[in-house]
Amino acid sequence: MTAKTSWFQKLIDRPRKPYANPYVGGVILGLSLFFSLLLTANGLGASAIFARINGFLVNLVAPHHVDTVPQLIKVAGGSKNPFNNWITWEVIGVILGAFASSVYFGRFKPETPRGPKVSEKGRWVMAFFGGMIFLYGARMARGCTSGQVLSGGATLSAGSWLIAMVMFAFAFATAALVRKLWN
Amino acid sequence: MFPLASITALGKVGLAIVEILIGIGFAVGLEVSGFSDSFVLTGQFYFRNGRVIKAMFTAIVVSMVLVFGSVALGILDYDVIWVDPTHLWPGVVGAALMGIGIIIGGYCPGTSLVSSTALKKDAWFFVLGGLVGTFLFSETEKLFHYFYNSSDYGRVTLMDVFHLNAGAVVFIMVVMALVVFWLNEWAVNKLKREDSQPYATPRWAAAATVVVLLVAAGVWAIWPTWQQRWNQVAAKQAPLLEQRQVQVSPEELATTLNKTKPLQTVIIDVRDDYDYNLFHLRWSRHIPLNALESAVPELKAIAKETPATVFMIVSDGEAQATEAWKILAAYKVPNIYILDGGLNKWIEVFGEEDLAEGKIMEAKAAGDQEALDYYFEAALGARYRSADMLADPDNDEIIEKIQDKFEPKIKIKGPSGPAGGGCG
Repeated sequence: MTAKTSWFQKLIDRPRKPYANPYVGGVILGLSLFFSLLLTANGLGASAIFARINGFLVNLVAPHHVDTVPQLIKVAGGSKNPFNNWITWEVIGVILGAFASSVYFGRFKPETPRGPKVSEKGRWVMAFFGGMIFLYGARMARGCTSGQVLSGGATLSAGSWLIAMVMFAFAFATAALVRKLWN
Repeated sequence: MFPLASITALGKVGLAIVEILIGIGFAVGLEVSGFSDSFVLTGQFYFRNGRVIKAMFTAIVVSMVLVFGSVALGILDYDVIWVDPTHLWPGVVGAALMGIGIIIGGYCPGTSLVSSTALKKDAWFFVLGGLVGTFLFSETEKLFHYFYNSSDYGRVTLMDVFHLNAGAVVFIMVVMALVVFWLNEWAVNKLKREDSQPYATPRWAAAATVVVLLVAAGVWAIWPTWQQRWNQVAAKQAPLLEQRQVQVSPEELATTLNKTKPLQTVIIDVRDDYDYNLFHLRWSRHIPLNALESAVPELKAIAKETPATVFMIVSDGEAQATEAWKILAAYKVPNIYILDGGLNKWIEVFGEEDLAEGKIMEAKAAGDQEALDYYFEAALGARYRSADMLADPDNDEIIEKIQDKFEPKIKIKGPSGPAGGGCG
């Protein structure tokens, strides 16, 4: 009576392998960033795709509104296609790479990582609000961990190094204030 | 030279493929480091593990050393690649929010995309919240539009802040990263958390440290001086000097300063304090020859802001100005020219009245070419009639007289290379 498992279930059921040495992960990240700067003149990015999806969605619902908001004009004003940008291709690569790597190493599993004292739903609520705060900040700072800290850090931008330090300081301070979330 | 060569060669389709490959590398680097799991990622901030600091700083060190190594070898053009511009205060406020958000949310934008793909449900909520946050920002930005655009310092690098060359900064950053790695390892081991198993034995760690330090020292050692940079461009640039295509006559400079055409003329006076105080052109910027190299980023920023900018280098004769021209040419500052015959010739052409009034006296005794050929009654700086043509009541008349008396040399070349990039 063995039910035939679906291909999707097979991907999920692959045995979980431990994570790699993070220094090795760092070298892979560093090489990707270097080749990005060398070949395309751009660094790595991530928060920009949120801005472009946002521009796309607002443009669907209220196309006239787009042309009154400076942040939206930049990505979707007039007849601009918000996805006509290098970041779109990079994010397609990110999704492909994340899929391949997580499947190969058996970490492609529907689950909710969380601290021992937090319920699954509680974690979802925190993730939602955390994402909201983070992206609000990322738009304010004109870039996130990848655009500012990694790319700006490697190209020695003064502002990016300041952002990196402030971000780490606030992360450590916040972590101390909300120990129960993750311990 | 990269990246313009590869951008041209790859074309639109080729670049899209390269971006996809880069995205794959980016995601694999994040995934294998454990950042598709918010519990592992936030572990750094309780020193349950040291993964974020290890992976992030390794990534920065590796790409920084490769980028500046390539720049030093003349493979990569640093002026063309995207360097995040500095908006000081919005950057600080945004960074504070990001620091709070990463702990509450458990991810950052890049890792949330990776984790969402790896079916981590909390990451789906992070992405949703992130879209709401982006929406809220674009709708509320008008409330603090002024703040958001304040403290705009443009493309400022750590080299500009510390007045060091990039080779030295790279070396210092690598040493700092090694100290941070060591502190991080120490903190994780000290607290004996579950994930503190070291991957590398001390011997391997020591070997890696030495290798990284040597490579960084190598970048510093091969960092080219301006003379080496000049040698690289001399084949193209030296003929301009020899054929006197960049030596602009006093008449042309005066006309350019007076014309209302959309042209910004920045006069750079490269002489020492003594000569500068005796006599200089009004509106000129005093950058002595030995300080010129560190002023290059500022001059480039001016050129970028106003592409129709002419840099006119001025000295007593031409020798110092020619040296200065080579320095600026070595660093590829656009639209640079030399005042033909220097200030000596300028005074010869325009100093008639000052000479008649006795404020300036001829003293063609010095055989040394690079000295003023005149005596000055006092160190009046720019308070001579001939130093400030624009203020001269007979200005129009003078311009009328000279405007056809020269062969024009100034030609404005526009900027080259892509303008965008980064987290747009």
